[in-house]
Amino acid sequence: MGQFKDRVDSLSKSRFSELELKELFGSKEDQDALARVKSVLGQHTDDLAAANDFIQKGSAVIGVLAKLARRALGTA
Amino acid sequence: MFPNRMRSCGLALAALVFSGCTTIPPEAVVSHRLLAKNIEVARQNQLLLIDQYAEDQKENKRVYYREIALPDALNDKASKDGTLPATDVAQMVTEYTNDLQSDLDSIEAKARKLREETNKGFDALSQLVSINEGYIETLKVRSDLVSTLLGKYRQRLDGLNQEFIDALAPNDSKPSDSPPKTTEATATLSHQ
Repeated sequence: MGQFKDRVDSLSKSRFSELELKELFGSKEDQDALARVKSVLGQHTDDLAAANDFIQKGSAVIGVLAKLARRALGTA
Repeated sequence: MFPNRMRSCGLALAALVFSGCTTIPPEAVVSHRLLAKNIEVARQNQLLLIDQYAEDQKENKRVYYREIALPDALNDKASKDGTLPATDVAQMVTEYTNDLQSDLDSIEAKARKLREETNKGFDALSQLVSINEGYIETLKVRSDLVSTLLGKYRQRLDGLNQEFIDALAPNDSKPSDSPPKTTEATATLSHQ
């Protein structure tokens, strides 16, 4: 390094060059938990969406159950 | 006796099913959208701070070099040697430029590293919120569907209850021409 840099460094040492930010999800535990959450919640969301399609057909099922109940009781 | 048992069963079943149905308020979804949106704002704020801080640092360096380091070096050289030949000046200019550029480069490199770390952390945070938002949204759809379905189911159960009572009541109390249901009829049923 040249004399100009030495002169400037003796006047002012930049804190910026030593700045260290705290890392988000820096710990091993956080990283493991994040990976697990991604995997499990992603799967559950897919399962839920699939099940929701099925539930939408539920009205028809209720009609059938009501008919079966009437038949079983001999009221139909 | 039988209709009462049916009614009890129906009510118990309905209570059981309804108790398991927790409604998810729309605010749960809104909450996640707010988080997702404002995490991005926080990211932009932090990137802006890094950029502005780096620019200030660079400007400080330029001022120190130009206003202090350069005059000091020239003074030292002139007072020590008594002269300042053109070859020495040329060499000093090169040294000055290299030193300044080196400092500016190291500030920029640090800023780039901080921006990368910031983006990496915020990407992970955004992903997490997005996954939660997707899950809650799907869960809300489920909750709404089940609520609607249970509403229909309850209507159907109420209807069936009434049908069974109506169908069985004549056998017990033998009403001759289908009178409207009375409290006596119900009382008779419940005693059996």
